[in-house]
Amino acid sequence: MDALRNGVSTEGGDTDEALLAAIGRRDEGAVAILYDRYGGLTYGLAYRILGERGAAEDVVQDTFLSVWRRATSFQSGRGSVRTWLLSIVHHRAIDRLRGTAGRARRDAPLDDLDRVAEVDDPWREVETMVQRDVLRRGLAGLPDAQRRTIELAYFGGHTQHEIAAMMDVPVGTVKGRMRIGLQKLRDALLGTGIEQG
Amino acid sequence: MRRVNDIHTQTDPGHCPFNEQGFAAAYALDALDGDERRTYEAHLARCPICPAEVASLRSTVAQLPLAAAPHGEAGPDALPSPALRARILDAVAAESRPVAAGTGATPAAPAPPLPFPGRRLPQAYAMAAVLLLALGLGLLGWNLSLQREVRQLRSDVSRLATERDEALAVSNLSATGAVAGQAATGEVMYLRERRQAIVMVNNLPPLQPGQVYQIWLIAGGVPEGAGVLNAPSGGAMVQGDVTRYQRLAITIEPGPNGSATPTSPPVLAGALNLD
Repeated sequence: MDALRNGVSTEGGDTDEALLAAIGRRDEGAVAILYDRYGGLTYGLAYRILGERGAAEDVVQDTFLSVWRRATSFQSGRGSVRTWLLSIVHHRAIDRLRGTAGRARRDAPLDDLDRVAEVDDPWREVETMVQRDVLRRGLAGLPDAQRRTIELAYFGGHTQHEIAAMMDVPVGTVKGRMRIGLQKLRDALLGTGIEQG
Repeated sequence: MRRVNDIHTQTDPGHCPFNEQGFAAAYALDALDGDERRTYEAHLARCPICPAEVASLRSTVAQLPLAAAPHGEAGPDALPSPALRARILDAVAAESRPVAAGTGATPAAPAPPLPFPGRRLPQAYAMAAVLLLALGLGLLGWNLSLQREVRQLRSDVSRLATERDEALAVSNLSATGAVAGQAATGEVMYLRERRQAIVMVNNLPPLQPGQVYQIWLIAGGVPEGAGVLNAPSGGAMVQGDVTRYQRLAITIEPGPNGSATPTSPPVLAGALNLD
């Protein structure tokens, strides 16, 4: 199947991994395709974190430039290209939010990827839509305190102590909310068969 | 916390107090700080439970970006500016060329022609293509493996064709009423296994600022809102169990969330024959 798929040249048929390989060979056109595929998603994440168009676009631009420079460091066995891209955006946006001179808590390298179930590539867009839908419903279904705790940590870049102060609860409660909330989200995603890892 | 080094060795291997207190979740969200982070990382190196839990929760966290850009919320800054694409490609082009010595302000080199011309088809086509590609490759892969079993090939191929039909049902939508004659087209694809329908449209009539396309599911003549689309070509999840409705229609409504009942005639409509 891999050989077959890599040989396919119809619209949407180039796998993300094939695009990264092309970028590794200094193929600028492959960057354009990767951007057409993920520009909106990466911008959406950066904008959600930074709340400002200029800063969000800077982060997206930095991210794609760093992909251009480091495409060969991507390890396909460790997760999807989409996850890799989004993790770079997340790191950079949170760093920017905190100020680069802030505490150096985030020391994860660019390729610090988590194992994510790889979805058959041709299903990419459809799967993204399904996942987005499941995730939004899952988040919307969480009690407000759990959802806010997760959002403050992920999109706000806040630590548990900061969140505890903001929500006026003990740190142990913050951790508990993170645990229950994430477990519910995981269950929601597992229920779709999307995230099997 | 102070007895961190021995705590895990004293507990039932099926339970880890760190995990139960939410350390794995906080770590997966990168929300531990200072000593607790270092302490937990030391614990991770030895705990039989926590590493798998952290990995699993990180996979969940990795999906959170999908919730970042609310689909159907059309804020002015919800999408990157069209100039961003050109800026990125210019920056890439600039990096990939040796810097000419002595030239102060080099004019931005035009982006080279893309080696993949014609790839930016409307999203609806692209999505239809990936769907069909997935099905086609599935069949091809099956067929290749079946070549070793020639005697069964015929029955298996017909079975596979049936399976494909079972996996996916498609209903066409057509332009209606005021806009009939325009090139608006659409399809509803129903992924049976997921019980999920996706509507894909192309060339819908343009929106005025603040408007959205709203999807309606209709049973017994009563329309129920089933999501919105923001672009004249593209796709969206249909919110609702399409097998319980007879028709699907799309109207233009005030954004960002549409109306409670349709306030304009449909621009696209069709029967749902998905079951």
